[in-house]
Amino acid sequence: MTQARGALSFCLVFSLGLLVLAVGCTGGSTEQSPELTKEALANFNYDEGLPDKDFKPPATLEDLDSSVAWLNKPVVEPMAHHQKELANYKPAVTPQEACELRPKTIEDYDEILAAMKIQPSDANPADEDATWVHHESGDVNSLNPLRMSSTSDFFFATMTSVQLTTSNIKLEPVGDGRFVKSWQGNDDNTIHKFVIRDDLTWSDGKPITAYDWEFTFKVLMHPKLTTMFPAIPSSLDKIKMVKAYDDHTLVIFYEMSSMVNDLKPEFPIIPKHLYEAQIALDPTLTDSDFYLDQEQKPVVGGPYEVVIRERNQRIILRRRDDFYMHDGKQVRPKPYFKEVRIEIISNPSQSLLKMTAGQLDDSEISATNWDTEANTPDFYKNNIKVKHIAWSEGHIIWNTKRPYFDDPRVRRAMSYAVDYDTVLNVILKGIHQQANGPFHPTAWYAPQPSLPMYTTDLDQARELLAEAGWKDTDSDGILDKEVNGEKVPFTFQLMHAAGVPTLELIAKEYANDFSKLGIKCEPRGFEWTVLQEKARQHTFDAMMSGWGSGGDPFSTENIYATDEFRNYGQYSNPRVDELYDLGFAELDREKRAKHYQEIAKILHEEQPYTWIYYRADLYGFNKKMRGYQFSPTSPWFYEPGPFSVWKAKAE
Amino acid sequence: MLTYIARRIIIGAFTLLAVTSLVYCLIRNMPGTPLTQMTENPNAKQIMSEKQQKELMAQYHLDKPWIVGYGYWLAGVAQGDLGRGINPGDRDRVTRIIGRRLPNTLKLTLTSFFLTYLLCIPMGLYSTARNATPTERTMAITLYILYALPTFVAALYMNLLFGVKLGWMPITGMTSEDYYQLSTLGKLGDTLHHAILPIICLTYGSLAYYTRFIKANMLETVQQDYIRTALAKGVSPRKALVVHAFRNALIPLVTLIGLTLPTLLAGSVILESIYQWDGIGHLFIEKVTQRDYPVIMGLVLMFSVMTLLGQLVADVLYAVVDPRITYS
Repeated sequence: MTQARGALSFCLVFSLGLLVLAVGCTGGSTEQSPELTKEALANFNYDEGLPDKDFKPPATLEDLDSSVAWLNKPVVEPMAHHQKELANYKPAVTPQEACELRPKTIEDYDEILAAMKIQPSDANPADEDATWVHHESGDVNSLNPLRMSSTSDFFFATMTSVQLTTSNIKLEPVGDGRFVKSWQGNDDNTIHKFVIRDDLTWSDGKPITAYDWEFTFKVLMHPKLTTMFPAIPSSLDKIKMVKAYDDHTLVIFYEMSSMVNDLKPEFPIIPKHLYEAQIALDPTLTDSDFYLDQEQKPVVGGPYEVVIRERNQRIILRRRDDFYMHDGKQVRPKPYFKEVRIEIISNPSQSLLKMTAGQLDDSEISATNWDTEANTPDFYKNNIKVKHIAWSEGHIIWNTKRPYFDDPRVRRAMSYAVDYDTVLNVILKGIHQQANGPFHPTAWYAPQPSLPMYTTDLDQARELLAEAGWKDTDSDGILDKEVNGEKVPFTFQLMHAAGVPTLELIAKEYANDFSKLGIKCEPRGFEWTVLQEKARQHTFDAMMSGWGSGGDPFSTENIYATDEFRNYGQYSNPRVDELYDLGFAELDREKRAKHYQEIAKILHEEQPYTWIYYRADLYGFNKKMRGYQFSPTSPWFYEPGPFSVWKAKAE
Repeated sequence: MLTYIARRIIIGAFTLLAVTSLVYCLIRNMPGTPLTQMTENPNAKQIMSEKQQKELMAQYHLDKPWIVGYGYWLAGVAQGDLGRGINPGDRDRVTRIIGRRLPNTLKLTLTSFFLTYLLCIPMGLYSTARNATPTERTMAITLYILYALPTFVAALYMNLLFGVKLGWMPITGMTSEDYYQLSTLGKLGDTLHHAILPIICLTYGSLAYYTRFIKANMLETVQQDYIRTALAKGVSPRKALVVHAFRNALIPLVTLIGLTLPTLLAGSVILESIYQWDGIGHLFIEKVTQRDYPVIMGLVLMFSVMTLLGQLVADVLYAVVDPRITYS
């Protein structure tokens, strides 16, 4: 017994010891010697990656101003503008009444959203000491905003970064008045001039200047650093130079005349005074203590700064007083929340449980849980559900280089064969809206009047297939056709992401629909990375997937133009390619819209995809939350977006 | 014995070579590369350029045949360098990436391991002593049910009860938001509080298995002549059971400890995912999806070494506890 007691004590002490050892550890920082830093800076040429080395911009600002007739572009201080817009807003139902609704129709959701977008007032002020517990399904890849590539990264960057321009709720580019005084462009939009505000500081107290932007651009373009930044450099394509003429004047020179240039200044920056030497010392941007520190508590210029980062757990942000105060005066609207806690929970069932328990203030809810776990009295006790149709769409991509789908008539027949009612209303429970093309009908570049929806019409489908030469010549129940002297049966594989029950059900439904025409469709699930690889290599017949959409249609060029990176179905139409070029170069928005509308019409006619639905954004919000509104992409990725939400002091 | 251990280590080195080369060959030939996910970006206007992709391919030897890539990896390992993660979110050294997650996994697996052994022994002895009584039958049925109960189902119901309905336990995560403001004792308490549900889920299955394992061995041992002799000589049944029978029944149990070694480090993919526990199981799945070859290889190397080491320890322990076994 003595031995057993000894063993028991040892095990307990050992277990507790391990736990004690495992809790808490701290990092450190080091300083490099000035000689080493000087040498590293001398050996590191920041101009090495400039896109056009022969380009010589005007030497002085006076030279530039004398050669250009500037046209003002819109600059908006997002929160001040939003508060002014909603100052006298009175919703049809109060937020308290909206919280008791159990929404079923799209009108119910609209009513809730209309009630909840209200802003604080003197009678109902915001609780400025409140914490917002926000849910993200994945960890932030990096706290360095230049390395962002996921939606979590974008959210973090929105809360902490500085930018010249932003998007409003309609996804139109505007100068971000929190950071810039003015934004001007020349007549062909190949030069932009920004005047930066002089009351901006980094969280280490140093001023934010135009040189930070010039430096960041050079870092993003540098050949030795290019593999460190997976996403942002491509959005700076066709910028010739970013030049700071003084602390507050920044000029961007573009290669081509385009309205798309208005989207390019929306890139985050890093502090030159900290990074210039550190990058020269360690271009891996990973190893040195400086980077390790910056990954925990980066120096930021935006409204919030990082207090604590626990990887794959949470990031706690705190409101920066020196963001909205300068020299003792308030110079910007005070962000509503004192603290924003980003809780990272990758398992959707767990985040929903946490939301139900009242421990999250907002969370995206999966369509699978929407009418089940997110529809219980327990869920409604603390929360409210909102839905908004986004400009993202779900579709089937036809590989147009396969003999089955090289003829637009066959692709149209496939679109007529889909039983939209079963897919949308039975399997997807009426959550999403039927789609008629790549552009949502409410987008400024979508055809007006809206193009007709494809509806289930098996007779029309049979007729089109027969016209295209697909007939059942051997009476085996499967259509066939002679292709290059060989009889090809209409049997194809429909690829989709594995392990998603809803997708599997939809794929089975498609197979059932196509079988009515004598087409054998074999649905097959693939692991996500395999699916992506097969899509990129074009080694598939047909594929179920979806695309998100930005505010400008030029971003769809890499999907539908010939040989483009995301043109998985290898669709090609010279007129579409030409229209994309015309749309890019056109400066008049009305005329641009016409080019993209023509693209939409061609795609509608040729059906390189069968568009099924526009995806609904599905969110749960804690009943204490107010002020949220949805842009066509989400409630967060526009301005004021996350800065317009608040909690009432009275609650 | 030393010659035996030396021989096993040499054989182990060749086994490691075979395992790592096979795994490297397989992952390099799987569809998809580390760039497949990296080039996908939620922002449609931002894509990794071809130039960037080519540079990354060259940097990580992905532009070379797998055997050359393996050669580079092996040369790095020989110099104590397991390389760097490829995913832009974590380009840190592989040793650091694994090192960050390993303590988290060990918090769960070691605690569960000790709990299992602490509880299974008295429970196994009790079941032997009370064999075929209603209490033992009830206990046996309960243990069979626990052994069959999937962890994700148990986790879900425990979360609903203790997390949502009663609000006693945290549903996810390893620490509370105010963790860094707590004292050392407070931090320990907070970590334990978060670890309780995952540890219960991780423990009950193995506890059921080991209890039944001990009982089965004990029943066989108590039939032996020397136990009958001991009882005939007047040794109390309790002493005969605990001192005489249990010692011999312990032999297979002790060897199991060695074989458990790799599972201690592997963690639990399902539980770590459910409880947002930032451990090795979670890391492995994440990196396989990302095709982050250096991290996958680092983990495979660690698991392989621990498996070989575990088997060696089991064999050595077997010789230590059973004098009939020699490796001369």
